[in-house]
Order: sequence, then structure tokens, then C-alpha cells
Amino acid sequence: MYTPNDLVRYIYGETSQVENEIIEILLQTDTKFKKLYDQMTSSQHDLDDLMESPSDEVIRKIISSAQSLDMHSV
Amino acid sequence: MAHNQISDSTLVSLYKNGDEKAFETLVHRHKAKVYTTILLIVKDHFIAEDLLQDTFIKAIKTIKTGKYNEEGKFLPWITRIAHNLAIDYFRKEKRYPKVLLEEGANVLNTLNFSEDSIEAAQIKKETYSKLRVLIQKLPEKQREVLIMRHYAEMSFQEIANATNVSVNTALGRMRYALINLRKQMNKYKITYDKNVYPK
Repeated sequence: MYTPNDLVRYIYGETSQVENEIIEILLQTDTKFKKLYDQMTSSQHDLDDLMESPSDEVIRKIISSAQSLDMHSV
Repeated sequence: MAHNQISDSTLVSLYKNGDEKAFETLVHRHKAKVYTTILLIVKDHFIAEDLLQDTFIKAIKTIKTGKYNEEGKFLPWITRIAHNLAIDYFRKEKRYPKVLLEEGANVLNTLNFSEDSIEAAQIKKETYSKLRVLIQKLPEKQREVLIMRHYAEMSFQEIANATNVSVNTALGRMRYALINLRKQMNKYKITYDKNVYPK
């Protein structure tokens, strides 16, 4: 018996090969399971799209800190 | 071997032994995930950049003093530092930030809008802005798991251990977070379309 929580593990790549095969069959045959999958993967893609990078300026400052902080200053 | 093909744990070791470029690679590899984690909590680009600096400086000091011991787990470790600094910031401020729908120009610079029309870029900007607000509105436990799994790349077992709950509870929180976000975004898109494209 596969649950919605198993679907979360599947979406995030935490299921075994055997589980994947069973879940993939369920996704083709169980419309409720497929609907849940579509909802969750849609949000997952939104979260990927939301990823932002900081400014180049702040990255320069961080790298400069990494170079200037030696063993004597920490 | 080029630095960008080396594992995090090896890069940490190289940096500890004086290879400055190794840390630079770690910063570029993980900057977006760590920054996004902070931004989802503080909702302000200026504060997020300050906290990002604090996060990496704390990491530098920990590595250089030989106190780093989470081999192969650099991203979850530094994301936790970032998350805690962001939360501490609000404890000091004693208030949760106002939701700012007006984003800085940074958003347009960092999202890939180069091939989009101005209108499409604006719609994307507003959609992401709304999504960040919705993530902020999630129950704290759900938001925490979402950040830990999606941005810090911790396994559900690691999340369960870190938050003192069962794996099933962690999975359930992630499931509700994803479904809640989808439902709220669908509502928002319907409202948005009605307002932008009235019949």
C-alpha cells in the first residue's frame, strides 16, 4: 500500500528502484495519486524557479573575507 | 582536476590547507541556495545579503579553526547556519518583517528574463513575489522542512533527526507545504488573471 508520503519520498529521489517501478505504475493507473503528484511537482518546480543569487558585490566581499581571515585572526 | 568537479568535503579540506580558490568554488556552488533560504525568511534583499556574509564568515572561522566536522555535508551545515542567523535576527528585532511586495531590481537581474517580453517578466516577478509571501505564511514547521529539504538538500531522515520528529511527520509536513503552496498559487493566479485580463 503506497501512501502520499511515499510519493513525497519519490519526488525527492528517496525511493528504491523497486519502489519507483511500483509508484510509476500507480501514477499511470490511479488518477487521485497522479493528481497529488502533479500538485506537488508543480510546487517543487516553483521552488526551483524561485532560486535567486546574491549580488556580485557581496560575493566579492565574502571571498575577500575568506582570503584575509588567516589562522591568527580567528 | 578542476575545482568545480571536486566534492564539497574535499574543497573544505583544500581550503583548510590554504587553497583559497577551493572556498571560492564552494561559495559559487552554494550561494543561490543559501541566499534563497535567508531571503525566504527575511524578505529583504539588503538584510539577506548582510546575513549571507555573516553566514559565510562564520563558516570560514569554523573551518579555519578546525572545528568543522560534518564531512560531505557542507550545504546542510551552512544552510543551518544561515537559517539560524536569520531567525536570530528577528529575535533581536522582536518583530517579524513586513511583507514587502515591492522587490529590488535584484530580482530582475538574477532571474532569467532575457528572452521574455517586459510584460512576461513583470508577471513572473509578481508571481515569485507572491510565492515568497505564501512560503512566509506557511506554518513554521512546514516552512522549516521545506527549506531543509528543498534548499539545504537534507534527507527526510536527517530532517527528522534535526527536528526530533519521526520521518513520517517530516514527510507529512513537506507534503502539506507543497499542497498548500499549490492551492494558494492557483487561487492567486485565478485572481491575478481576472484583474489583469478582465472579461
